[in-house]
Amino acid sequence: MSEDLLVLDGVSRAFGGLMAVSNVNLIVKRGELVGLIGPNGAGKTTLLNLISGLQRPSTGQLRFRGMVISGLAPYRIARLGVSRTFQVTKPFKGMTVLENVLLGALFVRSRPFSEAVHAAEEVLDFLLLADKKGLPVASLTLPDVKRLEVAKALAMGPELLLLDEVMAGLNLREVDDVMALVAKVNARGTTVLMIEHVMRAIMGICRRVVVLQHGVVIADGEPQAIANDRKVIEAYLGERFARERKPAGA
Amino acid sequence: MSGRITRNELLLGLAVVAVLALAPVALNQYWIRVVTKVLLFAVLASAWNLMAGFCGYPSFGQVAFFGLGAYVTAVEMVRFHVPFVLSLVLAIVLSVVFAVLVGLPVLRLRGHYFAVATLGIAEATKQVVANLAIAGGGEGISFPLPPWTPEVTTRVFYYSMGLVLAAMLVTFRLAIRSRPGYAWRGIHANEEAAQVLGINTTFYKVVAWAISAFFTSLVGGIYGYWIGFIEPNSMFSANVTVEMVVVALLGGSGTLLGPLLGSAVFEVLSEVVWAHFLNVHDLVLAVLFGIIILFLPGGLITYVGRGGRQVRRAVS
Repeated sequence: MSEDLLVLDGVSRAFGGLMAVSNVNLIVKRGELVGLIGPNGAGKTTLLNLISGLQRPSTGQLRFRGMVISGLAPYRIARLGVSRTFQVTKPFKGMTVLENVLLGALFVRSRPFSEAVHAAEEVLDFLLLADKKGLPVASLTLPDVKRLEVAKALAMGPELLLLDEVMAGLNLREVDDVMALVAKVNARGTTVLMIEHVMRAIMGICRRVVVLQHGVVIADGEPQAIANDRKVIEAYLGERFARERKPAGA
Repeated sequence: MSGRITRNELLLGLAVVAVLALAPVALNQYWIRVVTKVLLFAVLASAWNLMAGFCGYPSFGQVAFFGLGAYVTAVEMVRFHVPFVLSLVLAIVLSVVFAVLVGLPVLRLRGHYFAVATLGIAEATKQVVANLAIAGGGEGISFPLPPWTPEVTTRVFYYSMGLVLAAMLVTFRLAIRSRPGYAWRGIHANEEAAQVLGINTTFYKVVAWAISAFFTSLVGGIYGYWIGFIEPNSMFSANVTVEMVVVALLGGSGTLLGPLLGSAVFEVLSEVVWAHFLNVHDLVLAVLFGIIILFLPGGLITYVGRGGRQVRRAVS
């Protein structure tokens, strides 16, 4: 029962005639680290927007910790314990690194200001950003901006962390760093649902991968099984390639 | 970075208060009135700045609150013989309620749409007031004469404006460095990103709008009583809105003290120009507006900050 942290029950979202997300049923259990992949335009970000409340489902229901969250304002969903990052990073310009992270710590629960500052500093320590806390965000490098995006989300102390392509644009070493980081966050007890195009990262740390195409879940399982799934190969490489390719290991 | 006021801020504040408190001794009636106007526009520009500079919602309807403050005070005093202070309190309450009711729908709009909607609110409020018989309609309404000698009256309004400005500065300073301030800056930077961090953006926007309306209507009521006669075209004039915008931008929007500096420079300059070339006042306003946007996007306060740092560096 309480194992199911997030439940999507027949969730759809239409934009005019386009079904961006179509009848998705998905359960994320507490403690899981789930990868969400799919070709461009598959509806991954829309799905994250639906979970975080920035968009409302056309039909279907979302539940978090057993509570119905579809239709709730984004800030309410955030306060229940869902936090997210954005694919196009949204640092708060004109503020320092610490102030950015502080914004994540200030509003999710009522606690004294100084405690929120303390929490923000802890997160910066954890993400190895502590020495940059006084810098304006405009001076950060891309990997640090990505880290900051995660730091803001983590400062909320979420139960469910939604990551939207935090590794895009990073080099191999930086990807390794972020992979280790996400694994560490998950090990500390935060459930993670991450959209990622860097397959090495997905294969490396996720124990479960969900594949979305044209808004429909076409596969859901362990990374190895997903990599050999005919439908997944079709989705990424085309039908002919899938037909000609011999199934690995068979 | 927490909300507490530092010792330096307190000392600076007390020094300014002392100078302003003693100023009437050295100034003649004319200059006391000029400084009163500086204080008035410092409040108006700061209230505009709270919405535009901090929240990123440039309101062009501030005169609605300014006019309401003056008109409600006047109607109560003239028609119902309510004492000034009580009239003013009721005028503020009404303006804040009006701000919240109008703000809930209008604050859903962003950018140009918000600006135009607020402009419309101000114009609509003016039209309603201009057609209310109880408010004197288009002919306007006269306040009762203040019960003091002209010299005392001038000082009463001077000190009232100063008091309001001081109260407003303390309020803003405390709000800016605590939860509301961080919420406002988050909203300004990126509203969606602020929402997913658990910030009730609608709530904090309405709070800012209500505080803005509170101080705008407060000085509106005082200003009305001061000039003695009000009519819709002057109290709800778009020129008053433009002037608060120019003052705030000149000093530096998004900063606490920018609008104060802007008001001091602009109003004194305006007084000097006004006295000599009445007809080019609007021209000067327009040219100044252009210069600020082109060459001073951060306002005069950025130069003060830069100068201050250079002085500190030279000293150390």
